[in-house]
Amino acid sequence: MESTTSVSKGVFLFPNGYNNGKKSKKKSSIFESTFSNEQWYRTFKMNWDEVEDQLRILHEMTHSVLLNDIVSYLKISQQGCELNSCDKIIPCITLLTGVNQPDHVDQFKSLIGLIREDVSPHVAMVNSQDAPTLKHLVENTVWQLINDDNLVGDLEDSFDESSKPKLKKKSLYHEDFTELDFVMIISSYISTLPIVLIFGVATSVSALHKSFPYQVSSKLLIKVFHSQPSHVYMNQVLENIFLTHSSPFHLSGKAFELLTDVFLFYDFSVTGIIQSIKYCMMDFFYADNIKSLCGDREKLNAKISKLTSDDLENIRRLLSFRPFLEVQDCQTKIGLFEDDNFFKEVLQEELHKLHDYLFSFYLSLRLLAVFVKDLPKNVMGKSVREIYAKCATEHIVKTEAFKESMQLINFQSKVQLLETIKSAIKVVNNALQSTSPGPLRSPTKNMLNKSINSLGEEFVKNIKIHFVIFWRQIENASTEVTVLEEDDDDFDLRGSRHKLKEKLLKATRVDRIQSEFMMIRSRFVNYLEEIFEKSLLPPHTQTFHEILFFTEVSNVKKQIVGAPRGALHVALSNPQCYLQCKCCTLPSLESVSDTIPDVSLAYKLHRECGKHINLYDWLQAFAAILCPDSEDPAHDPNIQ
Amino acid sequence: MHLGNNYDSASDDSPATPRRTFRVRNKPKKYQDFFETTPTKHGISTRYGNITSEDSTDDDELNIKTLTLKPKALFGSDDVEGQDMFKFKSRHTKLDLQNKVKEAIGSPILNTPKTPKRNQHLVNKDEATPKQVVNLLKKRIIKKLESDSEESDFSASSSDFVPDKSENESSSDSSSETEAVEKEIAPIVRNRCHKAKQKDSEYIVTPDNYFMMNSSKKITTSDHTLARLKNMNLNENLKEMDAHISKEHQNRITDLLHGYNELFDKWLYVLGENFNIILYGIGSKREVLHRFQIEKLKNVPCIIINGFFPSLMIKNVLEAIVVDLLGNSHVPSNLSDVVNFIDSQLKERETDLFLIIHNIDGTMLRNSKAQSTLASISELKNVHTIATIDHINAPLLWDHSKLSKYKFSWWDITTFLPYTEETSFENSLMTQRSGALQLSSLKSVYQSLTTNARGIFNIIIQYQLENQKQNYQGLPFKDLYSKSREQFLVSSELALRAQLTEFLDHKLVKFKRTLDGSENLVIPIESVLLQQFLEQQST
Repeated sequence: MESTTSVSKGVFLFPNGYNNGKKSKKKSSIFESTFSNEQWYRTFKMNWDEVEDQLRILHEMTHSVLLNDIVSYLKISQQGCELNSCDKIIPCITLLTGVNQPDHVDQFKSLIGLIREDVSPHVAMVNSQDAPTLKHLVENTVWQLINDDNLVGDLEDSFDESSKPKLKKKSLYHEDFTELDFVMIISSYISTLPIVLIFGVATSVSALHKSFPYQVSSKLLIKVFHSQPSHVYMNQVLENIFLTHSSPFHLSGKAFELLTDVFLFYDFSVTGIIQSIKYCMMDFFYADNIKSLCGDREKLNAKISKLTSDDLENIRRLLSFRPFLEVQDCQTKIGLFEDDNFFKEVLQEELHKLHDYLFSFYLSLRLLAVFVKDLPKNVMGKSVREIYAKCATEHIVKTEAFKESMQLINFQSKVQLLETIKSAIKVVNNALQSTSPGPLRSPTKNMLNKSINSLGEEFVKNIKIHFVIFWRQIENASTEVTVLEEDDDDFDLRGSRHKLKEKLLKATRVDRIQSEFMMIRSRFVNYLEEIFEKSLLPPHTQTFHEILFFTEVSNVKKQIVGAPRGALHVALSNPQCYLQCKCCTLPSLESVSDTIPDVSLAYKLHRECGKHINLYDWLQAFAAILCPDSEDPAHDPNIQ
Repeated sequence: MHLGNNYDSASDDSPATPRRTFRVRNKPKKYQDFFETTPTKHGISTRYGNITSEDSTDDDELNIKTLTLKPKALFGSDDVEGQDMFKFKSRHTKLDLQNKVKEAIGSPILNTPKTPKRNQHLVNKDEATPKQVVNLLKKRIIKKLESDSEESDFSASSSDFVPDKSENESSSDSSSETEAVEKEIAPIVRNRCHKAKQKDSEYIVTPDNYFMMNSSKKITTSDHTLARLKNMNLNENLKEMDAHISKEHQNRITDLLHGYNELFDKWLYVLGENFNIILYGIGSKREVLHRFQIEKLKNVPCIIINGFFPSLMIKNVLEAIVVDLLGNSHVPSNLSDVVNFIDSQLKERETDLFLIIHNIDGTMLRNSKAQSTLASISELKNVHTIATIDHINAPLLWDHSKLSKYKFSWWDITTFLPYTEETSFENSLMTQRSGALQLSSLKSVYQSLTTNARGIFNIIIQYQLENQKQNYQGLPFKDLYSKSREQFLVSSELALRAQLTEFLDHKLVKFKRTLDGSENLVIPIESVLLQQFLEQQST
């Protein structure tokens, strides 16, 4: 350690065999050499790569509409350029991005890629922090623009050089527009050099107007585009990638809540939430070979056969195995423990069951979201993720919110109900299409699964049939309410208000006979309750859920959120918490004793002072506690 | 609880005026919480429950917002109570420390030099419940009010104080029985630990408490100075420092450190997935990192940065990477160029570089340029950063975009080890820093002065700045008097001297006798600092 302390320098390099001259193509990187032999690491890598691919596709999809709009506008402005050039007006696009910067980097990158492909190869992107002065800005831009053509030239030259009718684009983003002069320079060149500016603005267009004086903004022809708010994007990411039955691992309710909370209350960044999910996934897979069972369902059987007896032992130790064990008879119990092959068989069956459960769980989740979405008051939340958070923590059917919303569905009009059922059928169809052709199973097991309790594909098909039937019935049902009225004394009412009131009162008391529609509707609601009750059991009730569900939130929470202040406070005010020593038991957080470490003591004493600390008193108090018998209280101990 | 009733009755009125409920509901959540914890305020506020029970459909949106805008998983029961760290402190007297000490030792020390008789008297006054004491206080306050009519700011707070006490008094007047009971209890309370009572009052946040704390009027701060110490020399027992950790604790600390060793593999895994690691917690974390380096990073290039090094420049770090490691001749000037450069070279050579930064919150790395450089480098795929922080406000260094570049995973590595290396530069010649300490102490004294005294002090500063030369003789007392008089700061020489004693006590001003016997005033602080101080005051 001494080698890294010095009074003359603060940076120390340890090349550790790094050889600058030749390319070191010896062994792979340190990480791969350490972990790549591990089963769990390979599974993690494979799964994460898959997730990343999905993310990229989704990312392209969500941004494609907006970006295509921008590109087509660029093409139009390219033609209109000649018109503007006489007035020295620069066509300009403002992209309202919303508050999160880290997310925007991706967005701009894909935009640039698209422009390169479709419009012009000359694109430059400048971040505001890269361009503190005009000089930097111009240099940076020009460098980026000419570097594509491998032209190296003087600054002036380059502008002349590129005055060929090529389109140049510059996308600047960030909010502080230091480039007032820059705009003026460009506008003087606009006649010879077609330029389009793209600004990324986090807040609103007015930021642009505020930061530019009139003579600058008059040179700009601004077209505004809105990008989608980041929480919408987050919902998409979660719904399409992580909240599906095909996701490699699943977040428990608590973990999910944590991550969405971090998003909603801290950073509002989709990149951030993806990183935290990645972190959870890393933690989930870390040093645990059982987790290799995650992933594709088809490969499950093969994976199970590869498990070692140690792994099986670990699986036997899972908490959710116990309730499963208790219901088995004695013979099977022994078999489960003694016979690995038998256990594997059971495991296989149970995992398939778990997959079936997942399939129907996520489907029902989406169905519930469809039905609940338009209800007044939004007791259950609007998006799938909110409902997931609820369903994953408790049995949703037993909650007040669920009952209330079912009641509300029972009040829905015919038109609305028809519409929601229609979209629900769409959801079911989507789910059925997306599934791979059912897993290969021996016919005997198939028979077993045919039982009423079975979930999975059969269950979903069943739902579909029911929905279609209900839809037809409701469509044909009449909404007429036939109330038996005895129109006896109509004329009497005219005179007395009292009688009218009485009649109205009576009318309310008469039991209305339900219409056909109402009857079907209540049957439908009953059916809904039935399927949700069956399929929306929380994950922690399932056997072996630990294999697919990430539950250890508390491990990860500290690492994702971090609480340095809290840790310091706890360590200082209650050192026993970390040291686990016998000597420092304190009756309360405020109390002090002479055994606690010096730093803690000094900290506690300093908290007794107000804004200003009298050094003398503080040190004296410190000394008095440490050595109360000392004759000379003015003897100063050391405090760091 | 009577509070709940108040809320209910308030909400019963509210449906009549929907406008009003609308407004009330919009109050921030913090405010609601504040209301619920404040026993003295009641009236117009309504609670969530009542809001939802009114079923006017157009308010639904709002209802939902207030209902769902609560983080569910962010805060757990095992979190440190915010109250513990940030609570409203009650007013501190100079006795708090002594009481603490007494409590810790177990018996009151009689002959400490710090408890003069006068203070004992003060203790009694603090917990005054008996009537005569209240009266006494009241009289005193009234007298004070009459005497210093010029300071209207404080009279408000002290008059606040009076009804508070008189309320107590009237309640005890109304029922003589309770008074008797109180009198019985009072001595017991006094004999018991003074602390216990104070602690209770700390948890109730009342506005009065705040004003008491900030009034600065009657706080009797300690008048002890360091000069009272007999031996000011810290160095002589610096050697003993290690001895302060007890045997038991030493063992426990080694246990702790062993525990951290088991995390190394995981760290490597986390780093490999392009996260960076940050370590926090009390105690030096150098040793842990050093072991990590020895055990895991034997065969990879690795750069150690001492953030606490007083003359560290971010340029050094870049040079170490670009020149020393990658073997180039110079470092590009632009930040993004450097980053791209490092990125492409590392990728080309398929090398992973590890940065170990001890105290990424060190003084020289606190500027935003250094941090954004480090963040951009750490973001690279082939660069892996492990950093430590110790400053309590270190996380404030990073804004949103920097944090997302760093991609930190946070680890609590509390070691309780002494910061030997980290603090070794504290007293070195290189760190004779710009006198920030002097400046801040100057500021805090200045803030406690009256406006007139500040005026006088300003005159002295200005004179000193205007007459900077080799042999500055100081501002003659006579001149100061006439200048202060011109500005109506003092009316007599005696008053001026009285004001000056404050400065002399704090050593802000020194008297210097000239050859002709007149007294000159000098501020023993460098003029650069004074200039800086003036600028800060004027802004």
